[in-house]
Amino acid sequence: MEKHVDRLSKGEAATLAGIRLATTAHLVAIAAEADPALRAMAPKRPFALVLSAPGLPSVGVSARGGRFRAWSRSSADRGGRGWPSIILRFTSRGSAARALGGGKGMPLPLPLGLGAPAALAFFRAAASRVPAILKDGAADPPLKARLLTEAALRGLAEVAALDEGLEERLAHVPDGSVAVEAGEAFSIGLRKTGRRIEVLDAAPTSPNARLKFRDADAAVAVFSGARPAVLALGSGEVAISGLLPLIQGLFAVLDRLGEYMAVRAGERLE
Amino acid sequence: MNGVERYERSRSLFERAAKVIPGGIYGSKAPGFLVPGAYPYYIESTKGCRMRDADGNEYIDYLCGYGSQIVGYGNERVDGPALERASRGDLLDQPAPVMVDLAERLVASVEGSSWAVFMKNGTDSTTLAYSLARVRTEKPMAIMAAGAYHGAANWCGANPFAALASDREGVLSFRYNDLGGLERLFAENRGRIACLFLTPYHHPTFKPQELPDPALYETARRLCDAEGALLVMDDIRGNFRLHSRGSHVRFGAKPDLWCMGKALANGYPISALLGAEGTRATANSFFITGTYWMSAVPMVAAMATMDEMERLGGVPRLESLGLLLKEGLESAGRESGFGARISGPPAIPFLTFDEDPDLYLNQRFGAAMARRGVFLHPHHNWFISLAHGEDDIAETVSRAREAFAAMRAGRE
Ligand SMILES: Cc1ncc(COP(=O)(O)O)c(C=O)c1O
Repeated sequence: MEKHVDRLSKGEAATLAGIRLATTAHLVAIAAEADPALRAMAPKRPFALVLSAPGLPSVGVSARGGRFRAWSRSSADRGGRGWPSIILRFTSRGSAARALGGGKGMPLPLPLGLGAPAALAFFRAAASRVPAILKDGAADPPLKARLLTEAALRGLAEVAALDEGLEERLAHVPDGSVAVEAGEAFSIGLRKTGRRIEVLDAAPTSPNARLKFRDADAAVAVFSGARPAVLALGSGEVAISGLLPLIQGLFAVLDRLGEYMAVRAGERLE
Repeated sequence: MNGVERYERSRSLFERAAKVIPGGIYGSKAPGFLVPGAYPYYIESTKGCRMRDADGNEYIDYLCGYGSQIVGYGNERVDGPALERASRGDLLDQPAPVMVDLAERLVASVEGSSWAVFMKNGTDSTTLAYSLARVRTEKPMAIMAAGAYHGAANWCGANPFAALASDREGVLSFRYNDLGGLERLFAENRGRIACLFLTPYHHPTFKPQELPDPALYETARRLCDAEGALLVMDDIRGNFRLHSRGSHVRFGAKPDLWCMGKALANGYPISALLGAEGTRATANSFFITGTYWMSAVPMVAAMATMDEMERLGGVPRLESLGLLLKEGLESAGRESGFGARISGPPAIPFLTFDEDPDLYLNQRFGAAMARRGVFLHPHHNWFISLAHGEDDIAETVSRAREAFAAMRAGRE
């Protein structure tokens, strides 16, 4: 795959846009839940902020009673969405991919309620806080692990749904649920049905397979791409059990996600 | 001893490997195909049915080099003649005379065959079979069973990357033993089918093995004849473990081409493609070659392996050892309340648990057995060899009894 967003094919740019939209929304919600500085900045009034791009299901973040929630195609339920206070509309999928990847471009803000300006200011602050946490060497490893895992699973769901090149591969991956756990840090899950992947807030009680990181650092290493999954497996930093073709098939999709995540948007294309 | 100490050298080798070898160990021997951390990654030495890993732990082995061992590791009656041949040269400018002996012997052994050519890996043989069938029939497609493994080539789907999709366009698949589905596939692709690939019975990974429906081969033959397609028996895994005249005889199949490999020379690198008379002219016209394909040592080893198989009791002996293992393991499982079930022919068994299609119990059992010195693959079928004896089976069953009890008690 080309390494710059401006060189991607239309389909690849659409997939990247889907990944960036979903991961941005979900990571903002998780960071806001976990980071006291961000929580303090949150508007007092409940809000729902929607991100949309043509041809892609919209995603969003909402806050109500001090709880933050995000939604996207991989959400297991439709709760917590609320009436939107503001919609940020990207004019094209390419511009969403570019802007949410740190490059140029601005969505069109469509305020729909009184809370719109505060919601937008908060979203901007939170969206730039996420990469800062991930880069911060001193950041809490469980939070980093949780953010990276969320990005991986939400990204996985988008690539699986959007990248046509994965259709055949996914057809060979059995359906089922996976518990994804990292020591004490977190325990979440996913469910694959055909090309649809739902991310679950809690690990299923009887998953078809388990993916268990030894600790938060192991999850950070694998999901940041610093440590290839096969090597982490061989060295015992991550354990897999149960229906292995399900996990191994998803690893292949994660590899593809890694290619998208390596696409740059920032620098100007010569 | 925990896994870290028990397999310390394996792990440190793996860490070194990871820096210079993609995946550390790639393909079917990758740690992720076993239970990482609960099995050795590197094996140091073997003899008979026993092996020692890189950390010095010993095992009774039931993987037999993925089936390539049939008369035992380090069998002197095979290694002796092979080493003698090596001392006079292995890879020569022209074939050694033994090539003729081996071809004659195989053609005489494999019922229905009339010619043989040699190569190295099973994949070489299945790939040549596919090419030959297409040329012979002037048609493009092959049919195979979903989940069947015919090698690591792109055409049969070992690497399902989108960029390689065009390599797979020639292959259609049906659900094994779904005779109606097979009929439909032939009907929908009339005039386009070059061949049907079948393994003698179905041995997918991660699943119980399946014996052929009694009507499968008759149906397959009829459909191939009506279409003018060739029936290819991929006997690479079975390879004289199921019948001394080829696995097709055991199941009543009448193939046009036979792929053989794995145990053909007890681990020496050689595979073969055999054909019925009707395919000879096409084979004659083909350019078939590979630098190492005519090396002499594996051919000598193949001759010696066939002699040794006969001497050690051949298929009936393998079968009775396999039955002993099956009965022992199933009843040891029952004693601890597990529905452990062996599927497949007795000489190529695989154990699964009725109550656990996701294979968590397979993984726990495999790990518990590896800890106790028995190497049983949790996801791939096993193999019995003629170097196994009743005492080895008894020892295995006794270890299994301990393992099942520990699992039932929640200790492992
Ligand atoms: C049935 C069957 N066909 C083909 C092959 C491919 O053989 P090789 O790995 O020697 O290329 C195998 C190997 O496992 C096999 O079991």
